Amino acid sequence: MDVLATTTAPLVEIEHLSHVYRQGGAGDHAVLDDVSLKLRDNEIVALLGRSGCGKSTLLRIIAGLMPATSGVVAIEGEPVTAPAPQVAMVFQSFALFPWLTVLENVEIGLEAQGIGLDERRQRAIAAIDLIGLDGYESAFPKELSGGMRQRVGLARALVVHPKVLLMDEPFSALDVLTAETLRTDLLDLWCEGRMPIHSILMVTHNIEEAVLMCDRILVFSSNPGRILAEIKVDLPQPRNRLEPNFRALVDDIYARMTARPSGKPKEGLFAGTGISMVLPRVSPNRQAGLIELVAAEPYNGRADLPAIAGDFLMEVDDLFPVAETLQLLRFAEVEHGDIRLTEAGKRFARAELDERKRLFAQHVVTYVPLAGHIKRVLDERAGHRAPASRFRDELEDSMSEEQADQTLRAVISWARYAEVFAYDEDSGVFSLENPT
Amino acid sequence: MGCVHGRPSAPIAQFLAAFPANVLFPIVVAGIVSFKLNPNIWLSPLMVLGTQWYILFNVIAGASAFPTDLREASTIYRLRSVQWWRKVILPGIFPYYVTGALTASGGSWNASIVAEVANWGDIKLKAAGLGAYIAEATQAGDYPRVVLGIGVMSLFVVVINRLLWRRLYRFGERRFRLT
Repeated sequence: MDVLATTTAPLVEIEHLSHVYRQGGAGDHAVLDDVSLKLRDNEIVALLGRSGCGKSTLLRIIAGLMPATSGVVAIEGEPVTAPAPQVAMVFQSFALFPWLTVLENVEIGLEAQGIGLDERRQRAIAAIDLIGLDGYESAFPKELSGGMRQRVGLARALVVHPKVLLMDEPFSALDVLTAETLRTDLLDLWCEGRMPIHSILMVTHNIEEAVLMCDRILVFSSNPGRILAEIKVDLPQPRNRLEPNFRALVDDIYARMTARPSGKPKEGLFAGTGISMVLPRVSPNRQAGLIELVAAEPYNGRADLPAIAGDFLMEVDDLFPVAETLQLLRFAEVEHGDIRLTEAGKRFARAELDERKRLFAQHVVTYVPLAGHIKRVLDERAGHRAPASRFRDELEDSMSEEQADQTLRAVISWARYAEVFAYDEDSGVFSLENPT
Repeated sequence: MGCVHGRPSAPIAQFLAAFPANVLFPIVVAGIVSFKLNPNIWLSPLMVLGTQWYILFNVIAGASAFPTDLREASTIYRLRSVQWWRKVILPGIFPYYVTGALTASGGSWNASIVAEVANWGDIKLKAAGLGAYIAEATQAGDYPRVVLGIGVMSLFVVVINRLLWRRLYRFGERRFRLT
């Protein structure tokens, strides 16, 4: 092998990568847009972003599981066309073969490399011991807890001695305590240099996890996925979540992820504009919950999003859609990692149920273009009825079937709460009659 | 990746499955006669003809339901050829195969009544079997023999289900279940 090439080429190099999902008829959907990054020796890098920002797609492209629409992906200077031997992956769902024992699962990559039984066994057992699974060699995955299963996933990845370990949301299917134990164990092994790997690239939507584990964080924006910021984390390991520097960094990333792109209208938070805006399914109850929380002591109408997330053990993916829906409805402003209630939001917090519904109805019809559109169509029609398929077709001109469904369901749940219009699930028809 | 793509092959298989097995009888009979083959062996493919589709459809369903993450893991760790078949896809579709085979086996007993006595013009081929026994008894209008034949066949089906298929099915559920 060319010594010069291995010392100069980054482990992973991506240049101007874009990826587009082709959808029949509904137009193409850009998942990743002009992404460039480098992964060097001896670092842990996070791809941080919300669901739908294309970070998992990017990881799969690097893994050689799918080709990118355009751009270059290279591992140690070699373009990726199929899974590279330098790469191993840990899956969110563990992806263990249920019919193989722990030992057989761990050995599988070595077997594929044609390594003989004795060496295979010896290396697999060493990996199993390293990751703290000794004694479980002959167990089947279903006999293990989630944390144990992910340890098997890690052992299976480490045993092939990959240079790059790719991890796709490796801790997000685990409960809080198990996840923390596994993170700490992994960091210990990394810091002591006991894992046969050069670098880790991990996908996560958990800001604290990224700050806790990584040397560098690439923050992704959504729709399409772009690198919004690159943040170096210089805090020494082991890191303490309660330390002021740690908190400041988490706050800073929250702020970046909620920063409003200048000059963009508020609708720009969700993909699409006007009636073709893709709406998140956030129930009015959760919206009311967040309004009440922010209105109450100690926040009094203005709160730090990380603080709220911390108090309630919520993750970004849970919190952002609620906050942004409130922003769309003009009940709150979200900026620089803070959420601040508007006058209407404060009024909502103080009001009784009937007044709340009235206020919510006003805002939904005024600020959610699709709701206003459906209301107008129903008002104009003689029978005040319209089939949902009509609106679904309109939506599908500019978004996928799945997004259209999600958007319609969001509007239906908001309109029902506000009693603006009714929807009959069986016949699929909107109407102005209020079910009594 | 040794890809099994269920989508494009399913319509083709459904089209082929729509052909009645009897269409092939004349060809098989002609073949058996001209090559002087043993009807006891060579009539059995006719039994399988109509029922093999259950197996095929179930296996296709199994392959399309194979979880994406396991498929990705087998690609990442570059499992190929024999190892891929043995460790990945065969265990993955085993429960589906057993379901199909169980249905097909029941159907084949039924088909044996038609298949073990095959006529084409003047040529009549007969295998020594329960199906031929029932077919001949039916033709002769011999009720007691029809009842006896069908009774024995039902017993066979039930016993084989209990002894073989159920056990395989339970084994598949226990070892190869994907959840």
